[in-house]
Amino acid sequence: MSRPAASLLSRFFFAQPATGAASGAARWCSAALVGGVLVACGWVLLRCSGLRWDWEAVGAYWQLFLSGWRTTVGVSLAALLLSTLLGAGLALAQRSDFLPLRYLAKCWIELIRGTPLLVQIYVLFYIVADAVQLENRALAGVLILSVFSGAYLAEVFRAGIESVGRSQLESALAIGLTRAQTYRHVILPQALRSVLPSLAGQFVSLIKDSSLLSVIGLNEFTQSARNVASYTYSNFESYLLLAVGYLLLTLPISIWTRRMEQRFRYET
Amino acid sequence: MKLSLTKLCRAFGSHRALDGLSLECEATGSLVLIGPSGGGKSTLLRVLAGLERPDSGTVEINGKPLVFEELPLLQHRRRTGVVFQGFNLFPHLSALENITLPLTAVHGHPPEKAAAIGLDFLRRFQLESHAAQKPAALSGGQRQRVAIARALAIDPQFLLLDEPTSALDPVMTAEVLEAIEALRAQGRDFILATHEMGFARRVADQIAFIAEGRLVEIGPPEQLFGESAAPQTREFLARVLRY
Repeated sequence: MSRPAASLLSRFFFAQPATGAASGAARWCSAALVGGVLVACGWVLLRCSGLRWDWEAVGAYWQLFLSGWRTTVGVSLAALLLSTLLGAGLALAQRSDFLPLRYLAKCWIELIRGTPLLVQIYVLFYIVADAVQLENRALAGVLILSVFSGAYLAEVFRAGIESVGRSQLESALAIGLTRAQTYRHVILPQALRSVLPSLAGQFVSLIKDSSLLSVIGLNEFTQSARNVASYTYSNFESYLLLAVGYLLLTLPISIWTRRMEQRFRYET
Repeated sequence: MKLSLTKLCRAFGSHRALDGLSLECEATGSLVLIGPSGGGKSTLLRVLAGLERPDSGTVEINGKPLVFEELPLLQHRRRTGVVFQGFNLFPHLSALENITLPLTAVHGHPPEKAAAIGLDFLRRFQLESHAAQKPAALSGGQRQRVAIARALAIDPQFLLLDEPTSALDPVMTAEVLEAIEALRAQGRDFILATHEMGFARRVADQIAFIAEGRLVEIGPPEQLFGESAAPQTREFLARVLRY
């Protein structure tokens, strides 16, 4: 390759090899390239498949989409909070000196992680919720999702706690911190940094997994899209909207955790 | 500082780190522990720091017995400054925050007062320009001086230093040794385990030679480095001082 061409390429499409930093021009050009290629590919594929768009039929049901999306947002957010609390509790329980608590947490985690969510939804809704006469489907959905996601989060948190070195715990002990203070000032800030990427992954999964709640008759986003598709025979349009609706929820989580990672960044 | 240890034992599996160690020392400002690696110096310091419970034996510091139960140990740790071989600073906190954390969380100082104390100690060790830096941005010698400042800032009854220079190059070692010498000049009580024999000789009021989990002998530097030392001590010193 000629030298001017090589320098042009490196100017517009490459980050600095040593630092990983990239100029504004390089970032925009590269983003435009990737975006352009993706759109072009999509366009060519659609043309070749001979699909005809029909947004009008689907558009008539926008309210149905919106209410389904709202339900998904509400259920997911509530389950996100509750599962974080449950996960933290399970992670601590696994490290408890009280053995029955430790074994209970381990049982919970292994049972939940080892079985399909669909089975858990059926069992928890039609047996457990029925037994305690919990009839609110949205609330049941939140609880089921939290039980499920909490088990995964517990393992994420446990890995984070265990990533904090022994010498750090020793140091905390030596300066006279109590156990609770050690968690707060030493373990948590360091563990959070190492678990953020897996935490983001788990949160994103949780949002998508909420789609399975349609089997207990909860009219969440996926169920709405399915309904509209069957009313209008516009499968493709409905599911494309569905994908966009989930991305609207999951992308902010990814972006937010990247930001947090930057904030907590320190070298060791 | 007055120290009275009787028949301290601590075993890790089949290894007896402390094997019936007894030691008496009266009115000493600085006690330096020397001896071969694995001889029990670190374990002894960890027992004195309240980080390790002996299997048997008693510890008395300044006439008060050390009770090896959770609450009294916590109280004891809060009055004791510990400096580790590997610095053990908190990597997510700045140099200043490393010093202020025990002051605010443990000793109940308001944040402004803790920061003032912290800055004062950083200044004493010529580190005030590094106050906002995280440990990773500091050199080994600077980190160890921050660790000493952290241990001192709580105004401890005494300081325990476990081979504070063994992870440092000669220049940084000098920085840290100067800081320790300044402690002695200020009349701060401390117990130091070290392999720096020249420094041990200069800074110690009393030197204890510890090997195989027992005290071989204790005395002023002139005694241990002199002709009247126990054969085991002389053999050890001859070996480490040869080069």
